Formats: sequence, structure tokens, C-alpha cells
Amino acid sequence: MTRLVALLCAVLVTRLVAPWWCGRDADRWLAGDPAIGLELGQQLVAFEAADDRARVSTPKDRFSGEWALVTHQMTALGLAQLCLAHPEQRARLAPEVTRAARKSFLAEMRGFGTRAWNGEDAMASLEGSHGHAYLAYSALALGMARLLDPAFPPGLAQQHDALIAAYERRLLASPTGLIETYPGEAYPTDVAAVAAAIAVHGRAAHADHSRVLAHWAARVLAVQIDPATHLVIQRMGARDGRAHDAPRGSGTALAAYFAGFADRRVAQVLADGLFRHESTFGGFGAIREYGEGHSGWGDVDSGPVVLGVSVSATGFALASARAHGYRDAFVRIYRTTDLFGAPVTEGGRRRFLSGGPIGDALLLALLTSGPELAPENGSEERQ
Amino acid sequence: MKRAIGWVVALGAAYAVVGWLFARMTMTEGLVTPRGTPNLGVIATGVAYLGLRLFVRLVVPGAVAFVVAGRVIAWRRASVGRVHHGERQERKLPEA
Repeated sequence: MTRLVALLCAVLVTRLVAPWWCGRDADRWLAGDPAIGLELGQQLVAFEAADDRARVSTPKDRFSGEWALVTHQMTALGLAQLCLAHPEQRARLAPEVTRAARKSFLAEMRGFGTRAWNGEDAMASLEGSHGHAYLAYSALALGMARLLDPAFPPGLAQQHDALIAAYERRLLASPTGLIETYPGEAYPTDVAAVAAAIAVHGRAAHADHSRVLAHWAARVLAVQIDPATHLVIQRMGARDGRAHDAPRGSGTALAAYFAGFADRRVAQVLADGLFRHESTFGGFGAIREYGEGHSGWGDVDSGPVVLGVSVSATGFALASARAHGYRDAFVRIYRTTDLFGAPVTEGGRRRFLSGGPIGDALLLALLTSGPELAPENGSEERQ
Repeated sequence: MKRAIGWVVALGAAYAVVGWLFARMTMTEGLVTPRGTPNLGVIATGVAYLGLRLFVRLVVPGAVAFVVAGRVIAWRRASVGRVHHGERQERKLPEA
């Protein structure tokens, strides 16, 4: 009897202490506490400065190349969202947004894509029909920089205009609302980044992109979401819209974040589908990678899948949870992120020990998501 | 009880030291090299740190509660036992 009562006490204490310990910062992130956001932002500003000093050769394989691009892109997006949420930081951080965005757009950063397209560079083939959707990540970062930084370089703005025009033309020509990332491969998540880049370009350059954004939004809802699981299909045929992979949490969560820049309604639909796949245990939350009837071990997109939940889907879901008001889910998922991410603060800078620079960059963008959302009635251009 | 306190202190110290070491290693070497190759020593330290972190946050509070609750219950029983024993003794005195 003594042991049973002691065991009940142990379970109760674990249930109370562990979530409290891991979730102490959740409310600060939810409330947009500038101190905590700026601590992580400061870490990424320092990372970008160190990266400038220690530039090394271009990553040779596709995945490390993608990671380098995404690190700079997410740094730019996260810092931009901080500027939008705390306008008093804009003068100081906007040049840093431009610096990170510009770096994500360097030819060497997209070398992995150029190699995948057999030497065809995305910026040298703007008149062509190949999608090169991976470069939308940089285009989105450039758009946010252009929106915020009055000193945004005019030459870079011209390249940005040309890239967005090419994306707009390719997307309007696609009956599935998909354009290729690599030959024969289209990722709805990357196309959501294309839509986000087009939408933010509209805000920054005062251009009307309402037609293409409406075309994309309609195709997402009709073609790209699996009706059984409510998740976005991870990889599809760009022309025929056939599924080449399962509907998955990681793609849906990141697509929901990007969709928020372009169309709140689409982002909300994706978020609703995503949070149907939350697994909870003892006050902690995580997102299952695969919908019902599908399974797998995970890949470079999802990270490891353990007990059915994936690192990427769980982390990416923070953005939708914060931006679309899933407060309880945010707190539960943040606890898991804190437990495995191991944040530390040193010298006024915060970083997540187990994530490295890409983890810090992603979490800055995801944990500050909200200010970047398109206006309530859809894209700004439709107002 | 002393042994349990010793374990908690040792675990806390190991957690702090490995955490400090991992933080230094991620700062100086990084989880991966600038070329994208994993730094296996840093990753191994990270795995050890995360293992300790999970244990310290998810197991130690419950284990401490288990030990403390067991001791409190045992102490309460002993106290109640002593009181009852004393009452019996008092009741026995007039008979004697």
C-alpha cells in the first residue's frame, strides 16, 4: 500500500513538474515577448556575421545545399517577423534581413538546384517552363527584406521582379497549381513558398498578383490536399497531379506556414488538417508524420520518425499553432521542442543546442509566426 | 535516504557538466562541419546530454517524489504506531 501511494505521488509530480519545466517559455513566445525573440534573433545575427567571415566552399550535395539556403532564408523571415511585431527594431534589424536574404539568393546557394536541373541555373532560365520552385524560399526572403528595408538594393529588386514574374507565369500555366522543384518532382510545400513569395512581392512592390494567388489557392484545396487525411501530399507530378508520396505532416506544417503569407483561408484549412494529427502525452504534444493508412521511417524532409511523430512536422507546427490561435497545442508542442531542443541563453543570446544554426533559424521564424500573415480576406491585393 | 540524495546530486552534476560541455562544443565545432559533414564527437556528446536531460526532467522529479512519499508514509505509520503503543501502555497501567 505504501508503495502504491508513493507511486501515485511520483506519477502526479512527474505529470506536473515535467510539463511546467519544459514549458516555462511557451507563454513568452505566445505573447511575443520582445526579449526572448530578440535573444534568438541576436544569435542569428551573430551567426550571419560569423558566416560572412568564414565562407567556405559551396555545399556539394543537394541536402546540405538546401539546408544552407533554408538557414539564411529562415533567418531573414524570423528577423523580418520580429521587425513587423516590434517596429522599433526595424532600423536595426532590417539590414540584417537583407543580408540574410541576399545570401540565400547567391548563385552558390542554389548550386544544388542548378545541378539537379543538369546545369540550368534558375536565374538564367527565367523564360523557360522549368519550375525551379526551390528558389522561392530565397524569393520570399528577398520580398520580406524589400518590404522592410528602405535601402534594399535596386539591382536585387530587379532580379526579384523577374523571378516573381517567371513564377507567376509558370503557376498560371499549371492546371494542378504545381510547378516543379526538380525535374519531374513537384512539392506542394515548395509551391506554397512560391505563392508566399508572389504575395509578399505584391506587398513590397505594390503589384497585383490576385489572379495567380486565387488560382493557386483553388488548386491547393482541390488537388493537393488528401481528402482522407486532410494532409498535403508530400510530392506530386506537376502535370498530372498524381501523388508520388504519402500525405504527410512535415510538408503540411511547412506549407501552412508559407500559405499564411499568401492566403489566410488556405493556411487555416491546412492548420486544421495538421492539428488532427497531434499526438499528446503527459502535457507534451507532437505531430504524426503520416496520415491514417500510410507509414514510413521518415526522410530528409521529416527527420527521424519516432513512435509515428516527426521532428520536422512537430517543429513546423509551432508556426500555425501560434499564428492561428491553437494556444493549447502551441504550449504542448513547445514543451516537446524545449525538451529535445535544449535552449540555452548566454551573453544575451539564445540558441537551441541540438538544432544548430538551421534549428535556430527555423525556430526563430516558427516561434514568431503571425505578423507575416496575409490580411483577413485573403491576399492584400484582393482588398 | 542519503543514497537517494547522493544519486540526485550526482545526476544533477553530470547533467550540468555534460550540458556545459555540449554547449561549448556546439559553439566551437558545431554539430556539422561547414561542409555539412557530421561532427561525430559533438553528436555523441549531444546524445548523452539529451539522455541525461530526459532522465533529469522526466524521471528524477517522480523518483524523488516516490522516495519522499514512501518516507513520509513510513514515518507517519511509525508515529501513529508509537501513539497507539503509548495509548495501550497507558490503558494497561491501571490494570497493572
